[in-house]
Amino acid sequence: MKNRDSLRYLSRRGFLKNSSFAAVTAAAGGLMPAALANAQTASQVSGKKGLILLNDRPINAETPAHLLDDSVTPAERLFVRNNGIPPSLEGIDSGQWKLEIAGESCVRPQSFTLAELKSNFDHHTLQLQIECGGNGRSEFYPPATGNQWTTGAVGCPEWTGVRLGDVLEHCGIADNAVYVAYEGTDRHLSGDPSKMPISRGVPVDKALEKESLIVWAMNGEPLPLLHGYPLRMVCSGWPASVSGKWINRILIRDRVHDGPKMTGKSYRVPCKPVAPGAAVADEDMCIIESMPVKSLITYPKSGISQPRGEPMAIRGHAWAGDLRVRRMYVSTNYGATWQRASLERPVNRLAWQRWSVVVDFPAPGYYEIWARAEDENENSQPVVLPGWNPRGYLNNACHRIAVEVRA
Amino acid sequence: MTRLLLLVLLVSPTVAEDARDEQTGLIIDDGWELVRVHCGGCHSHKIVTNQRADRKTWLDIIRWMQATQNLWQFDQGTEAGILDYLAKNYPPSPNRRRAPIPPSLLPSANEGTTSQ
Repeated sequence: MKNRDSLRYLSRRGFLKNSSFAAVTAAAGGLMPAALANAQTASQVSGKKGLILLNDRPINAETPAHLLDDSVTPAERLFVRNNGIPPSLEGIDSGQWKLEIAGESCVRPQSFTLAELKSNFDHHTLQLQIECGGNGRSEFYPPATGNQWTTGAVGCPEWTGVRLGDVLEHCGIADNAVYVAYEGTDRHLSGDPSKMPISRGVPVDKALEKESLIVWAMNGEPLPLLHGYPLRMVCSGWPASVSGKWINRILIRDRVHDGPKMTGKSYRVPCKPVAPGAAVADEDMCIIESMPVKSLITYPKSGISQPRGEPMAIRGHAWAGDLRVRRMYVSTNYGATWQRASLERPVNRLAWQRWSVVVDFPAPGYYEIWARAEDENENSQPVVLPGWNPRGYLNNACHRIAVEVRA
Repeated sequence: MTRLLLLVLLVSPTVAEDARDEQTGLIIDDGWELVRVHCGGCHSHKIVTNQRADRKTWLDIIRWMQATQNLWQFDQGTEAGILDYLAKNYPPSPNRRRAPIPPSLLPSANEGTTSQ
């Protein structure tokens, strides 16, 4: 177990001293990293507050559950997932930025400046959740390879841009079109300029949904650099890696896209269920599409203590890939009984849904609150781990927090 | 503070035993410098120290990086040294279907945190 649960917090100044116990506890806001010796110096992540750094080259950072309580995720609380090295802000001239639409199945290939995108197409503002396909990876056994996300690689900001479908239709989608893929200006970790770190996409039907956007703004502000400035795709409900950042090319493909991180085991799970630890050949791995139903408890914070006799107001968010969440439950007795929570409608399709409930505790002691969402097709979250897969995707096990009720 | 420190030591009894390299966070043991040199060229060593895997899986990761991510080839001795180190110092935790809530999120780790 050593190091397994260690948390490395980014302070407001984005800096921890690995040698100082006091600095670690202070920066952690009173929380206790379980393995101090593994708490390393964290490099600064500009514009982020309270995130846990998983990797500093490239930067990958997640948000503790209690910091995801906002209905609309602020930029400073949105997780960061990078497959490559982001472009530098100094190297980007948004006035000169061009988005090229091309590919075998594009009838009228052409390029747009940011200004042309903004003036040629209707603008849409939607709240859309994005979640890393590997969110929850850290819980799989045998351990799955990659960044060891716990629960915080998810968020639901409000995005502004144009419909991907409007742009694609303007450029002509040939009858043989199969997939829509992005390319961006991030660089490969090895520094090899001939390699792209990632280029993924979605089938044409998903690209043409009215919630699939090409966006330049998040929460009413230009996209932060780490989230794709000046232009990104957002195809909500699927692994967030389909929502490419720093995009300068969109391809209408006549085949399933075969860019980096589309093939092999990346963002794929076994086509047929396998036993934990099984070897799976690449040709038996299938591309992840819509993500499964999931929820988070965002209030209270795990570890809270309260006097007996007080009801506890609990709340959080629930989402379900392409689907809607239909019911929400919590349990304070390890799943023996489940209490129905009230559940709000999404502000628009593919936004997460707010839920809340008040629970009473029968006696002082230690309790866990478990949260379980159910989607419109009656799919529910498992209380233990769902199907193991080599890269540790799609862990939608119910979120649990711990509570002490004092005598 | 003393109580908290004691708790950490109880929860992670091995922490005090493993010396770590200050810069990379790698456990200092036979072969650690091979990993420092060969496994930090492109990515942070954190992706190594946060990972747990058996020897075969570590080798699979190396082969994948060699095949797709521009990792160079190792001579036999180097590869064995890297694998020996990783398999010994970063092995899988004991088998389980789901671990308990992490110690850092329990009430005992959050003294002073109360409901509003």
